Amino acid sequence: MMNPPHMLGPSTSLGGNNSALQSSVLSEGALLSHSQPAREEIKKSFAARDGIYRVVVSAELSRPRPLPHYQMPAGLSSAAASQMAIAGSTVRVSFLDAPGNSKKRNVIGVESLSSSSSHGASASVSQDDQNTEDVTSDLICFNVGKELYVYSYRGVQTETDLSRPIDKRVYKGTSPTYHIFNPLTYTATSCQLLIGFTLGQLQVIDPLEKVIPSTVSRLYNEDRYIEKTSVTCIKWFPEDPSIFVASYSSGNLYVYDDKIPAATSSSNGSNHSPPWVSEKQGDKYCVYGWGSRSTARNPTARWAIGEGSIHQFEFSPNKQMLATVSHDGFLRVFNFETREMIATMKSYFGGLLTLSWSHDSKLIATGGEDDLLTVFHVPEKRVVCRGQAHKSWISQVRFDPHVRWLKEAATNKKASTANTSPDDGPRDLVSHREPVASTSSHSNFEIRNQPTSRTEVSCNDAQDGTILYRIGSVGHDTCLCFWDITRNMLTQSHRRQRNSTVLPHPTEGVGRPERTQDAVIVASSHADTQQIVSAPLPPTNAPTSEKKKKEKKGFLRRFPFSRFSSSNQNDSSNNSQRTSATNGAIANSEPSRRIPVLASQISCCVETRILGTSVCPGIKDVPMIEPVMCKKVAHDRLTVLEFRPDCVVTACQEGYICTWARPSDDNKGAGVKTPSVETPESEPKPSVSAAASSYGYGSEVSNGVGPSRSSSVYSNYEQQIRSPNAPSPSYRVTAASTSVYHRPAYAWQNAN
Amino acid sequence: MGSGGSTMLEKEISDGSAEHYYGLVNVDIQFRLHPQYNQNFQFGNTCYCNSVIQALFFCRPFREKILNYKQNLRKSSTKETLVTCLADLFQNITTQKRKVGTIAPKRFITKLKKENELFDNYMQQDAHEFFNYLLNTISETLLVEKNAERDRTARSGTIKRGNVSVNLASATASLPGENGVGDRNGAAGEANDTRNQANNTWIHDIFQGVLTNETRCLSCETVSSKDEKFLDLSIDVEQNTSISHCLRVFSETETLCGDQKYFCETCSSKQEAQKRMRIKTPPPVLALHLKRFKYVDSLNRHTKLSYRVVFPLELRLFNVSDDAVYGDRMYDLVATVVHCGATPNRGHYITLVKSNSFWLVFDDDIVEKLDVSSMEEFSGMSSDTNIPMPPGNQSTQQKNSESAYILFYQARDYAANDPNHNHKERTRNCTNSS
Repeated sequence: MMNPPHMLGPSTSLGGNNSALQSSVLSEGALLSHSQPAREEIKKSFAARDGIYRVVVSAELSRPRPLPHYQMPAGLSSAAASQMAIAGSTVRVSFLDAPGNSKKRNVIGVESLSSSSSHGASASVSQDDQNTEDVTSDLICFNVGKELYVYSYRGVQTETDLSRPIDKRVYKGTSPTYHIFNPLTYTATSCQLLIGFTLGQLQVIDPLEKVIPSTVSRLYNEDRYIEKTSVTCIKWFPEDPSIFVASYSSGNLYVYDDKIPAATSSSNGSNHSPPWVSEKQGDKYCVYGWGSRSTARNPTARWAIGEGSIHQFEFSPNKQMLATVSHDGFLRVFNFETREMIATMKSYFGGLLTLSWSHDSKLIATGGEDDLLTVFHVPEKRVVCRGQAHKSWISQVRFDPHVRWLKEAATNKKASTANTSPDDGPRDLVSHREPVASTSSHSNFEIRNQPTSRTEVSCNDAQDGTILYRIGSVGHDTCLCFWDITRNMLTQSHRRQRNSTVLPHPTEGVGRPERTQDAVIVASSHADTQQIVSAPLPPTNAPTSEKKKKEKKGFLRRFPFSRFSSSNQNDSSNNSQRTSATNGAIANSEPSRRIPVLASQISCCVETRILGTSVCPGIKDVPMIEPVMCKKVAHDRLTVLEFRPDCVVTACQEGYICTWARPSDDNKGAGVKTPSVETPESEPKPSVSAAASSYGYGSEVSNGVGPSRSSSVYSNYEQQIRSPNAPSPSYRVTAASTSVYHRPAYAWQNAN
Repeated sequence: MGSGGSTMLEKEISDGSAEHYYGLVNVDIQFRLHPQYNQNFQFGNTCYCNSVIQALFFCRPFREKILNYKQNLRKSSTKETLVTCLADLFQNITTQKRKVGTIAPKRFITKLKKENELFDNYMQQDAHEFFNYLLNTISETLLVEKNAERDRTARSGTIKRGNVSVNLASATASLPGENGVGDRNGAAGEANDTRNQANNTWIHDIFQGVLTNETRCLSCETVSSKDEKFLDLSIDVEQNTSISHCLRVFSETETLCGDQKYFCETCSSKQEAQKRMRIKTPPPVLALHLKRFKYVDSLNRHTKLSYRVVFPLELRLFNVSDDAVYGDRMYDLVATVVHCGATPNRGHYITLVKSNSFWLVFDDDIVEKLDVSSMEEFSGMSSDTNIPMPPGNQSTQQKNSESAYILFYQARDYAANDPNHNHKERTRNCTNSS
C-alpha cells in the first residue's frame, strides 16, 4: 500500500484510456506528459550573467509519498498528487536559519533574504560568532495540500531523507496557506512556526517540541469570530518577537501579540461582529482598534486595505514601512508606526500577487496578473521600469541580496568612487548585502547616506551601466526569470514627452464619476492640464528627456512588438519608411498617429485618471526591460522563489522544492565560501574605475566557468555591459545565446 | 418553475438591485429524461445555447439593445424571428416578480432548431459556433429590417445612403454555423466607410473591433497595412500561459517565405515579408474565443486542449497597433462560458457572470454564487494533470477539465455609458407579452 511502484494496478485502468492518452500526447507537443519517463525534461542548470546555476538533485524536497487514498498506478501517482495539490492552497516554503552554523557557512543574515526579520535576527547571530560547532541546522517548512512538513535544510549540502521529517502535520477540514518561522526565538531546542489556514485560523507550533500534548501550541481565531476568510500571508514584526501580522483574502490585515493569551481573542460566543473602532482613515484603507475599552486583546489592531484579497505584504528591511499588494491591483506602502500611507502604485491591469523590498528599502518589485514585473521607487514614488517576459501571472518576486558579482562589483568600485563621495552607492550595496553587520545603528547609517548616494548617482553618468540590483521572479508559466536593475534605469527620467497624455483631456469624460476612487491620488490639476508631470520630476526635466531617452535605449524596449521591424523602434524617425504604400488608410505613418491617440484619450478618461500618472504610467511611459535569464524550471506553476546565500530555492504547486546551487567560485574553491568575500568594507581594494569593475566582472565570470564553449555566451554579456548605450540584444537574442549552452529542448521552449 | 433551491440564493444576493437571476432549463434534457432515452447519454443538449444566452444576458449593452429592440418592434409586423424569440426570453426574465428562478427557453430553442438544421438535433454543439451564429443572425435580421425601413422612407421621399448587401466581418475561423453570411476574409476592411456605416447594426457597435494587418516587404521595407473587422477573436492557447500572453502570440510577427511569399506592389514581385496582425480598434465588448478544440488528423476528430490559461478580471491589450484608437482601454471581465469535459461534442457548458459586485455560476437551471477567489479553477489544467483518470474516476476528470472557453471583456469606459437606470424604467413600462 505504501510503495507506489507496487501499485501498478490493474492494467485495464490504464488500457481503457489508452486512446485518450495517446490523443493528448499527440495533440500538443511535449508539454503533455503522463508519467515520469514521458515528462518533458527540465534542465538541471541555467546560465545567468554571474555564472551557471545548477540544481542540487540530492536536495530536492517533496512530500514523502502520496497519501494512500490517492495512490494510483505508478505513472499516475504524481498526477493525482498534483491534482490534489492544485485543488488545495498554494505551496509555500519558509526557512529558519540556525543561530549557530550560519557563520560557519558564511551565511549572512537570517531568514530568507528579503524577510522582514533579517536585521533583528542578525544580532543573535553575531553573538553566536564563536559557536560554529553548534549542530542546530537550518529548518525548511513547506505545505502541500492539507499537509505540512518540516525538514532540516543545509542548502546545497542538503541530502534530505524524506522519510525522516522533523515534523509532519496533516490537517482536516482546513489547509495551511502560509507559514513562517520566528527568526528571533530559535534556540537549539525550540522554535516558533506560525501557520495560517484556509478557514482563517492561525496556529503557533514548535516543530522541535517533543512533548505531547504540546505546551506551546496556540491557536488564534479558532472560532473564526475575528475573520472567516483564508489567510494569505503572515509575517513576524521585525522589531518585536512576540508581534505578528496576518493578512486575509477579505482585505483585512490583523496585528496579533503573542504575549496576550490567545483565549482573549475569542468572543463570548456572540454572533455580532467584533466591536472595532476606527482609529485612522485614509484613502481606501482604515485602521481599527478596540477603542477605549482596550484591555490587552488579540488581535490588537485591524487594517482594512483596498478591495479584495491582500495577496502579500512585507515589512521593509529598515523596519519602518509595510507594503501590501491587493487584488485591486494596488501596491500600498504604509508607515507601520504612524499608519500613514506613504506611496501607492497600480498594476497595468489586474491584481498584484507579490512584492519584494530591495535590501535598502528603496525599491519594491511587484508582479501580478498583467504578467509584468514592476519596479517601484518608494522615496521618489514612481515606477522605475516594467519587465515583460513571463507568459503568465507572476506568483513571486524576490530581490537577490546575495548575488556574487554584486559583492565583487562593490569591492572593486569602492575605492574608485571615493573621489566623488565616500559613502556612495557601492558602499550602500555592501551594507545591504551584509545584513549581519547591520545592527540598528547600521540602518540609521544607511538612511543617513541615502541622499548622498543619490546625488552621486545622478551626476555620474559614466556609471549608468552598473548593476545595482538583481531581481528574480517566478510565475504560473513555470519560468524563472532574473532581472538586473542598472543605475541608469534608476536615474533616467522615465517621463518622456508623452504624445499621449500631454494632450488636454476633453471635457466629456472628466466629469464622469471615478469608479475606482483613486482619482484622489492624482492631483486634480493633472486631469485637465496640458502637461502631466509626475511629482518628483519638475517640468524643467523635459528638455533633457530626449537625450536621456536615447541613453536608455540599451534596455528600453519601446513597445512590446518593436522587434517587428528595426525601423519601428525609432518611432520619431524613419517615418517615410513606414508609410503605407498600397493602402489609402496609412495606418502607420507618424503624422496620422497623433490624432487617434487623442481620440483614445476621449474614451479612456475614467482610466486615464490613473493611467499615465506616476501611480500607473502608460505602457510606453516607463522603460520595458528584458530579463537577463528566463528559464522553465518546473512542470507546474511556480509558487516560491527564495534567494539564500549559497543557493536559490524554487517550489512548484506539485510540491517539489528545488535547490539551485549558485555559480561555483573557482578562484575561491567550490562550495563553501571563504571569509574574504564578506569583508569588502574593511578591506578597500586598489582603485579600479567603475567601468573596469564591469569588465572585471566579465572576466571573473569567465574564470568561474571552465568550458571554452561558454565563452561566446559570456562575451555576449560582456558586450552588453561594456556598451550600455548601445541597443542591447533583445531578450530573444539573449535567450538564443543561452540556449547554445543547453540542449535543444530549451531552444524549443524559448521559441515557444 | 422549480425554485426550490433558489431561496438560499435569494437570501445570499439581497443586494437591493432589480437584477434577475434565472437559470435556463436544459430543454433537451427534459425530453431526455423520458424513459425511452438512454439516461446515461445525458450530454449533448442545449447547455451550449443556455451558456451563451446567459453570458449575453449579463453583457449589459447587449441586453439593453435586445430589450430595446423588443420595445420598438412594430406590433403589426410580429413575424417571429430568432431575435424576437431572444427578446421575448430576455423580457420574460427581466419582468419576473421573483429575483431568482428558472425559465425554459422552449420557444427560442424550437425556433433555433427550425432556423438552422445544424442545431436541429440532440447533439452537444460548440458554444462558440452558436455564439457566432446568433450574432450573425441577429445582425442579419436587423439589417433586413433596417433596409426595409430605409426603403419605406425612400418611398416617402427621403433619400438616404445605404447598401443592401449584408457585409459582416468576423475574425473567426470558417464555421459551418455561419452559413456563408458575410465576408470573413477581410475584404470588408476595404469597403468604404459610409457603406459599412450603413451596414452596421448595434451588434457591430458592441462587438466589432478592427485588426490591422501589417505586412513589411523585406526587400523594399515598404509597410502595407490592411484593416479587418472582427466580432470576436479566436486565440490559440498554450499550456501554462495567460490570456494576455496568448493575445500577444496572436499578434506575433510571422515571416512569409518559401511558397508563402508575399506579392509586393512596390517591388512588383514576390518577396519575403514579415506580417503581423494587431488590434487597431479594441471593441467595446471584447469576445475572446480560446481555441481549445484542435483537430487531430491522425484521430480524425477534435480533441480538447485543457491547458491552463489564466484570465484576469481586468485586462488591457498589449497587442495594439501604434495608431490604435482606445489602445489602452481597460476591460473588465463580465462573463465567461466554460466548457467541462474532454471533447467538444460531449461534456457540458456553464457560464460565470459578474453581476454588480459578485460572481454567479449558471449551470443550466442551477444558479449559484461563486467566490471570486475560485475563478482560477476555471483556467484549465496544468500539464501533468492532463491525464485521463481510470474509469471510476470520471467525475474527477470532469471536474478538473472545466476550462474557460469564451471570455467576454467589457470596456470600462463603455460600461460607464451604459444607462442602467433607463433600462429599469423601460422594463417597468414594458407590457408582459410572453
